[in-house]
Amino acid sequence: MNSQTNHLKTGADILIEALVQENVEYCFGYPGGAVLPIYDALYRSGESLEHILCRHEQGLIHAAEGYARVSGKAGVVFATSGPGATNLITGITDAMMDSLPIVIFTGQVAQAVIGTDAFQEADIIGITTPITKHNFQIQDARDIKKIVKAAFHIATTGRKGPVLVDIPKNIQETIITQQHDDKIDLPGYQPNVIPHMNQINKLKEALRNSERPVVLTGAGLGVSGAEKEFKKFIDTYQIPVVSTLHGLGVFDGEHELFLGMAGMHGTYSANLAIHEADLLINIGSRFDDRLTGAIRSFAPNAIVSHIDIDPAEIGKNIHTHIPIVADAKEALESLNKAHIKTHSIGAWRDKVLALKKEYPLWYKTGEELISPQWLLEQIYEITNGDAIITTDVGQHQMWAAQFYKFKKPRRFVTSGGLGTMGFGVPSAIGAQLAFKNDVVVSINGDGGFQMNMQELATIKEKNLPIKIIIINNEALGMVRQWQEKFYDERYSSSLLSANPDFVKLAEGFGIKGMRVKDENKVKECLEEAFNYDGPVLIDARVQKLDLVYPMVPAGRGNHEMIGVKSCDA
Amino acid sequence: MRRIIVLDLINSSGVLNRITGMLSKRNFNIHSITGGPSESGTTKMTVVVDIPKSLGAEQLTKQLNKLIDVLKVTDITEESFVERELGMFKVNVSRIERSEIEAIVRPFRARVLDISTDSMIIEVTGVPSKIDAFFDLIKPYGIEAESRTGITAFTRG
Ligand SMILES: Cc1ncc(C[n+]2csc(CCOP(=O)(O)OP(=O)(O)O)c2C)c(N)n1
Repeated sequence: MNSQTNHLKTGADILIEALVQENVEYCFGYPGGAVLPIYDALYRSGESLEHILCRHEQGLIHAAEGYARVSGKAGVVFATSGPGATNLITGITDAMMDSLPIVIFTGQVAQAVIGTDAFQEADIIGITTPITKHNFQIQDARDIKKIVKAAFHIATTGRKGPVLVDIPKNIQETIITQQHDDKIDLPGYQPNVIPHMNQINKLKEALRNSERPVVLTGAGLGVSGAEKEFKKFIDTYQIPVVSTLHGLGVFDGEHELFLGMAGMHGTYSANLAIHEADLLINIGSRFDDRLTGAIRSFAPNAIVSHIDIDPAEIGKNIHTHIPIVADAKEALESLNKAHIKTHSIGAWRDKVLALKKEYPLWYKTGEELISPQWLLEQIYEITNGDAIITTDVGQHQMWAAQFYKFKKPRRFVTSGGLGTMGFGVPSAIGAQLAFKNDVVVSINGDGGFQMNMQELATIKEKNLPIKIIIINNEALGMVRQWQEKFYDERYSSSLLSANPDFVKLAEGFGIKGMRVKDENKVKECLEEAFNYDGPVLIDARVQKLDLVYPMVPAGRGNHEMIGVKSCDA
Repeated sequence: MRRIIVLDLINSSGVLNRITGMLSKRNFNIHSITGGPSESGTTKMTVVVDIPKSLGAEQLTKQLNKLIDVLKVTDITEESFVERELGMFKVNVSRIERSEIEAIVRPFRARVLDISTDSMIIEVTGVPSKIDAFFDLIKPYGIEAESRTGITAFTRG
């Protein structure tokens, strides 16, 4: 190599430069043949960009999702062609469903052999078209910067989502002497963030006439960073608030007016408030079926107003009377400017607050093993409600949503739309990297933990002080619950009788492992774990037959919840 | 419910896949789709879609609008528009039957494109119902092959 070639930049070098320009701090990746030039450029670059080597591509994309959820910034992913790329599919779909800004770079076989079933070739553009907000294959090395810029722009604006950029290997290797203008040129993409005043006026009018209003907080509200504006709105009008799973934390979970999560495993008061409301203001939720229950009996008496940045969500599931296409923050700012003379809604408020008091979430303690719900409350206490919580999918996820009363937005990292098991451990990696000084707790079932437990190696390598808690009921608990309730206790493949020794497993990865079975020992165990400076895994043995209650049976309306208990009873 | 949608698209590779993929993902049934380059360097497409009544036409246009490569979506179903479709038929026709066929071809302003000893290829252009009607008349002779392009359309004025 002569000295001159040292100064020549390849496509891969330009890619790294473009990422630095986008202020990327971390990229989550896994190398392979079709991205060797990119990994070499990364090695040579000496840039601030830190590469996080997860142990499976599914792990790395969930880590990127965790990062994106808590930071609001784009999570960046690298994977090789073929199997590297296809291993990302679940995570890409998850990010699409939960509107997380992720930019994925996949290697591709050289342009000359695309379409020949070359070694490790996969049509990742075809595969990911339905599960990305957009995707690109770079055809001309001079377009690298322009496409990277467009990819970040699309991923992080409007309704956020995953964008994939596929880069053939020869493009990565091309010596770049000239580049095309990198100005973003996307005439078909102009998300609308400013609300229409006519629509805002209609909502004001509805609020003026309402006697039983309820506000529903969705993920969009948290994403838009509108918590202050929202608090002001609620302080002014004193309207009861209910939330979706992903809306938790936008409004203080301990606030008097907060009725809790609504939907399948929501609180009775939240569901009843929606059922009896005459005005439902949905801010940034997509009216998912887990929230609505049977549509025919969802908010049957309400005028529905829906504020959403994605016009296609409005009217998709629920007939909407007052659509407002806007960023939640902009919409709330407009609303907050008005002085609306509302009805006295005191009687309504008293009614729902009485319901909240009378039908709290409930559980039993003092049995042989630990009560899982109580354990979640203990975690809440020891972390002062300030931790970032990541979860896997299943019963423990619902218990976390019910019993960890999030005070701040963007602190709950969970797979909502896709319900992806294996999300809990890797997503904690990204969350901890985004907030190095915050406490991150990863709550998992014993089933889902085993889906991405290889990421313990990543946690160890980066010495991330994540507290991993396995809510171990020796079962695929949520499946077992449905089988108990709706399939006459035929526990078909839902009991986990051969779990590994999770403590030894943690130790094998060089991570502190602890086990706790007795409620009396929980406090001590948690104190030790949370005072320990480094990652800890706790195998918490919980009551095996506990159920997530209350619940709306499939096909029923939200007012028909089962497992509701009055505290007087 | 049948909707006629005119799309203006960026002519990027894979754009057709994005359109058809989105339609099938959302459970919209494509009746026909035609497209090609247009005056402004973009691609014009006319899509006829069957959608469930419950969904309403709005979902369809909104979902199409979300695609990054879609510049403009116009649902012209309810507007006054001009539409054309082209149908091509290879009909089994013996020498003696030829004049009968020609008598059908004339009032429809169809055109005979090819004649062989026992078949004819005929082209007919018009609204889909005209092509249906033409087809019904020549069907008894025996259709060897049929191909229809699907409609392309403009709003009037
Ligand atoms: C990848 C994936 N496979 C299957 C499921 C279906 N599923 C939903 S919850 C659940 C059980 C989870 O069990 P566990 O991780 O032990 O958590 P628990 O419900 O016991 O808290 C299963 C199998 C899923 N959500 N995701």
